[in-house]
Amino acid sequence: MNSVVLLRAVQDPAGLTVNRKAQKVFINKPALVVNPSDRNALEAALQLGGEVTVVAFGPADPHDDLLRDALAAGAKRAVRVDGLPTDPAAQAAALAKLAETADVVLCGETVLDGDLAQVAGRAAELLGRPLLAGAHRVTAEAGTLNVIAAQGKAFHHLQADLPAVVMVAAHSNAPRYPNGAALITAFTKKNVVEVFTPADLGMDDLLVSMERTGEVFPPERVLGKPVPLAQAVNLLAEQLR
Amino acid sequence: MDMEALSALMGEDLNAEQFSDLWVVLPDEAALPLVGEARRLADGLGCYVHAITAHDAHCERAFAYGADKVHVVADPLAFARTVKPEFIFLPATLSAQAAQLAQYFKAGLITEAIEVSVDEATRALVGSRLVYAGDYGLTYSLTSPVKVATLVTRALPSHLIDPNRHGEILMEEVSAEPTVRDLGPVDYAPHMGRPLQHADRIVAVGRGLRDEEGWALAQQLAQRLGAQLAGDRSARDLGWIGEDREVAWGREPLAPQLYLALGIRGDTIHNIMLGRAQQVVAVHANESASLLSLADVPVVDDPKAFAQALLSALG
Repeated sequence: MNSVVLLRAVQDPAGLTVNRKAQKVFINKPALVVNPSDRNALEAALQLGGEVTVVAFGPADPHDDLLRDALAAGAKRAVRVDGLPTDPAAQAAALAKLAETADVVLCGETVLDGDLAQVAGRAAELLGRPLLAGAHRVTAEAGTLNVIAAQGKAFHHLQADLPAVVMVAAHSNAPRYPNGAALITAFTKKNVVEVFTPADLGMDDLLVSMERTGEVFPPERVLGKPVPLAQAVNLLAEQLR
Repeated sequence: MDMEALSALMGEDLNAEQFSDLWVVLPDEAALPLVGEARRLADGLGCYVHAITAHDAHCERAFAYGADKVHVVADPLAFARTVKPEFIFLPATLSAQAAQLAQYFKAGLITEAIEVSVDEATRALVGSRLVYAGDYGLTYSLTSPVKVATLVTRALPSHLIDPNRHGEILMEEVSAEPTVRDLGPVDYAPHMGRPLQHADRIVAVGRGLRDEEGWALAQQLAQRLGAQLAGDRSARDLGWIGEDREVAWGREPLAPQLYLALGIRGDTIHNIMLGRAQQVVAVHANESASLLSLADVPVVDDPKAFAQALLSALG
């Protein structure tokens, strides 16, 4: 069983402050981390067993470090595509090229930044494979993929023939931590990350599907003045009764 | 310059002229406001609004919201592939399937949009979506011949509903083999997080509750309100809540109707998780607690006394 997992780097939300009044986003501590639900996707892939390939799109810093972390956690192969636009259509095309021979492609279902969660669906369409979204538990047996997926507030048992594309829900499992020795190996070895350019993958014209034109800020919250206890209790009691 | 010449100039293999009208995929009644939003945009563009639904019962409601034609078909998503839409709207719950549809049409897609508009000169679809904890949004513009968007229904403005409006009902058929088999609902205990993300009411506790007596009151209050219990790091350190109920970074932001924080000072990470809460009530004895400055109803008082008073007021 070969699986491909897409890892995306996002700004650590702890290092980000938004000032709605000034309509500005301040990055106090620039630090890129793996998108949380992508870590769940990696864990689901490692639990499935077989050979796991981790894929990232972007420059060496910080993506190589994220890939090395994944190698230490148990992935067998790390691939990075450099020079790809941050566009879901372009990323999906690259992912589809890299996952042509894979049995399962796993992506996180939600992406904190940008509109990149759609990459999985687009890749499924390009590869002509079934798409299973909202996966909490992923198992495979004899050419069939079984997924327990969240649909609204309930869970459903979904089944599809392999190969397939799975979108793994955030917090659906506990991502493992790599042990120290594995980390040292992954970070000291040279050339553990294979680097491709879009041209290497045979992608001549890169489809750019969307353009980021600006930022919007929800209206500033109108915050209450401190309320005496009795008044607050009455207010809530009336509202909740 | 007409659209055809523009398409030729842009080297697009799809001819924009082939695509027309605004189409809305309606999986359930909750998605009906999308039709209203489509009507609003279609009036500006001068085009028709088509709704695709699997249920006959939705037709009249769809007309009331502003649909011109309703296509009734067993599999709305498969049928959407057979039409020639200029814009397709789907509810945010179908974002994954919308991505497949967008790729099929080689279209741009904005997922989970909170607002959409159309540039009438270029017919570009402009939409905004929230990122991170919903603290701010990014605006995107789509210029492909077909434009797809999934919309967050509850973020949409309310629309004029005219029960006297009528339209055309078309019964359609489409043959598509489903690739994913749904074997029905199962009992599954999720790893973590879901109770809080889906909770309408949350009672959150922190060290400011002081002792076990305060914690017991909070539990009673949560039970009385039908609320989920949560807490900050201090509550977890005290052994009151487990990891799955800690309001900590990395989770999806919480979006309850009521977030009642008892004795929580509120650090940055805790506070950022509340970006989508509709009402935050914070009770803390110390007026310097940072959560008080973010609350809709801040109360500078003893959280234990507050819990006691609210319990007796609720009876």
